Amino acid sequence: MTGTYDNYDSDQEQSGQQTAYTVSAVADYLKVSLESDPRLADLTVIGEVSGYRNPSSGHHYFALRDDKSVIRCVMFKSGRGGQFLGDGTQVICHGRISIYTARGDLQYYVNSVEPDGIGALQQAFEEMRKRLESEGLFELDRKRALPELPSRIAVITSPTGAVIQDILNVLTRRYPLAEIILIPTSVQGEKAAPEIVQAFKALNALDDIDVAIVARGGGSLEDLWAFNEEIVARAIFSSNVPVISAIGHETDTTIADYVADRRAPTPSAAAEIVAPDLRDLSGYVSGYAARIDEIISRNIRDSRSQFEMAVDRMNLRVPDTAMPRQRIDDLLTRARLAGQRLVESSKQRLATVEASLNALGPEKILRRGYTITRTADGNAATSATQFVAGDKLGVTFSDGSVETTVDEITETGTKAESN
Amino acid sequence: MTDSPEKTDAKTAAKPAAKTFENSFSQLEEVVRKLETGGLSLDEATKLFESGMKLATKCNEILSNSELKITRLQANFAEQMNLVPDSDDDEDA
Repeated sequence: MTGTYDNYDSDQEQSGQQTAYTVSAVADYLKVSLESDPRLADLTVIGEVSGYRNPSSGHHYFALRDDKSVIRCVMFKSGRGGQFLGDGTQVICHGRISIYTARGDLQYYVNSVEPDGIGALQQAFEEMRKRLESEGLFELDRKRALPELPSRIAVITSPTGAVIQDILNVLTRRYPLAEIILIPTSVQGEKAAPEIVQAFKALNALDDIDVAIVARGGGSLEDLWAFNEEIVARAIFSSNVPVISAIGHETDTTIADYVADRRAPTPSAAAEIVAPDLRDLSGYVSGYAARIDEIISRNIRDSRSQFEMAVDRMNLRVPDTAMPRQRIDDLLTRARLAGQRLVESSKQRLATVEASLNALGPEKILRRGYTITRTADGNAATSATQFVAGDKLGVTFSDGSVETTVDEITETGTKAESN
Repeated sequence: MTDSPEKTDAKTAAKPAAKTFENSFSQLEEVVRKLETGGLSLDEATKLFESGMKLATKCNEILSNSELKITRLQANFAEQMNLVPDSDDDEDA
C-alpha cells in the first residue's frame, strides 16, 4: 500500500485480510475526512476557556469546555479577539475543526473570538474592579497631586488619529511652555494592553517627566477593553509620576480611570487639566507687576514726606543765636533739594523700567501710529474683503476710537477708503 | 537601558520654557514678598522694584515667545529597553 487514502477500500477487499496502515496514512485520512465536512469547516462554538496559554509566538492555546466535554483549540496570532481569552471566560469562537497530524490531536482552529455577550464583559469588569479595589489600587490616599507648571508631559496614546491632535492643539493654545513626549501605543485590539504596559515601563525609565496622560477616544466597551485589563491597571499604578487618564467619553469609566491619579472626561480635558492657561499666568505676572508698582509709589510718597518733616524739625530746633539765620536757611534749602533729587532719581528709574514693561502691551504699538480696524460687530478686521461700501467701520487709536463708514474698496491695494 | 537614544535626547535638549518661567516667576514672587514685608530703605526698595519689573517683563516674554516642543519615542522603545522576552515555549500547531 502506498499510504494514500484512495487505496483503503480496494486493498482491504482484494486481500481479504486486515492491512496494517501507517500512522500517517490514518492521520491524513482523518484530516481529509474532517476537512471535507462543510459543517466542521465553518463552525461557531460557545464554551468556557480553560488552560489558556499565550507564548511569545503570539499564538493562543486553550481548551473550550462545557459541563460534559472538552475541545482543544488554537488561534494563531493573526486571529481576532485574543484579548477576550482567559481561563474561566465564556466566549463564542468561530473557526474550523481539523487534526494536528503531528500529535493526532483533534483541534478547533479558531479565527475569531467574541465575549459571550456584553453581560459577561460587564461581569468581568465588576469582578476585577472589586478585586483591585480591595488591593488598594484605587485608594484616594495614594492619588498624587499634579505639578503646577509641568516641563515635560508624557502622552501615552495612538500616534495617529484625533486624540493626540486634540491634546497638542489644546496645549499649543494654552500652555506652549512644555515639551511633550509622545509614547506611541496601540489603544485597541489585543496588542494594546501589552504595549501600554511597555509604554509605562519606558516612562519610568525616562528622567525629568513631570506628569503623564494616558488617552483614547470614544468607542464600544470592547474597543476600550485594553483599559480594563489588569496588567494596564498595574502599569498605571506603578508609574513614577502622576497619571491623568482620559479614556473614551465622559460616560465610560474604565479600570484605568479608577487607578489613575486624576480622571479627565475627554483627551482635550486632560490637556486642560495637566497645565494652567497661559492667559492666567500672564494675569498673575501683571498682578504682581501692579502690586510692586503700588508699593514703590507709596514708598516714594512716604520718603518724601518723612524727609520734609525732618527738615522742618531741624528748622525748629536750630537755636536763634548759633549761626546767622541766613546760613541756616541756605543749609536747610540745600538739604531739601538733595532729598528731592534722591526721590526724583528714584522716580526716573521707575519710569524707565515701567516703559520697558509697557513695550509689550498693544497700547505701545498703537502709540507708534498703528490702529486697530473693527467691523460693525466689534471684531478686529484683517482684510479689506470683510467690508462692502456703506458698512460701518471702527478705528481704535491709543487714546480713543472713531466710527466711520466705508465709501470705496480697492481690493488689490492695501486700503479700504473711508470718509 | 541608560544609554537609550531617546533618553539622551531628552537630556541634551534645551530646558523647556516652563522651567525658566517657573524660575523667574518664583523670583518675582520673592520680590513682591520682600516689598510687602517693608522695612527697606528707598534705595533698596527701588532696586527691588527694578528687578521685579525686569522679572515680570521676562515672564511675559517667555509666555509670548514659547512654542510647544514635541518629542516622539521610537516605536521600538520596548526593544531598546532590554525587555525580557516571554519565556514560554513556542508550540507548533
